[in-house]
Amino acid sequence: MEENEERELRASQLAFIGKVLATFSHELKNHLAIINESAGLILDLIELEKSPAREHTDQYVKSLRAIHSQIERTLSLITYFNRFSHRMDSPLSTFDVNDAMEELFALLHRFTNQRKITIEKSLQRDVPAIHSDPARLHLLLYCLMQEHMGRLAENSTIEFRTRLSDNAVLISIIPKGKEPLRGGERSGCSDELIQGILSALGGSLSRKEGEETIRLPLGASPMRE
Amino acid sequence: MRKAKILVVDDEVEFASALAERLQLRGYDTKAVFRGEDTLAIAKSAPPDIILLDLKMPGMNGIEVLMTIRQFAPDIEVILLTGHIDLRERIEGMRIDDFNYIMKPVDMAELLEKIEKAIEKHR
Repeated sequence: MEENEERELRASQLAFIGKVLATFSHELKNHLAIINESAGLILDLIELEKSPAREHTDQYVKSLRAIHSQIERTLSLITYFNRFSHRMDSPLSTFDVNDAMEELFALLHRFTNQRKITIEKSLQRDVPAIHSDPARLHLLLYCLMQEHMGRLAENSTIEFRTRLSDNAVLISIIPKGKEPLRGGERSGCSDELIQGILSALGGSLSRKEGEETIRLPLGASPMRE
Repeated sequence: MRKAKILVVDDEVEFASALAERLQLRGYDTKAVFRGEDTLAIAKSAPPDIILLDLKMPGMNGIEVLMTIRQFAPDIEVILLTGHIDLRERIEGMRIDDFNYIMKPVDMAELLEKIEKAIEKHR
């Protein structure tokens, strides 16, 4: 297969996966909405109708509140999942870097938690939106996070900072912790892949004393394939 | 005082019915319908004060219903129900933020606040 055809196939596959994920999360939200309203109705009937005290009413209320609370938690995750899926709808879009990072961290929480790594966020709230490829930024952040996680011992922290500087959004990744005794694992992403993503984003990466900083210029024109 | 009339529109029958009943328990005069076409018929024959309208429905979708109602009954307040907000989502050239909407699953306190504001506006 020609290189261009291979690339086109990959792009189509990604768009397809994004579509399936977006549809799935939308459907799941609908199901949760029905559960939420049904549980809410039972709760209303018990609380608002002020019917005579019945046996086990307290337990009903407690269980219904637990259902409601779990739905809230699930919903929050699905909302991140849905946004993540829609990031692949088109190659370029205008987005908030902080939002893109928040959703990635929420979706990878279980992964980082299992490795006993804490993700710390120091995000400058008023950074302007950038016009770029959020799905590629996600992949870049995942590659760099994976690299640090491979090098860090359990109970370490990786801090992510964002700030605006010289017409660019800067994302700093700061590992805080010790290297494991057995030595670090290599990340699954090659340097070529990382450089390729950076170049497609119109950004750059600098490394200094274990810290990495991604620079995403506000006025950059990311490469279109 | 007359109870505010609310029409709940969603193709998910259980969702629309339960939500209508919950609002009924809070003192509103509610009715649930499950198709865009039925919404238009009711909006013409017995116009409600407020319509809670699902954005994505098979057949006539929420946007088509909204735009049609705006033509013949602009006084009816419409609160859109939506599963997710895509910031690029636009309705007839306008951003979704320009409309009164609430995310599904619905937060009852937030919905009641929106309903009360819509009633104030309708009077």
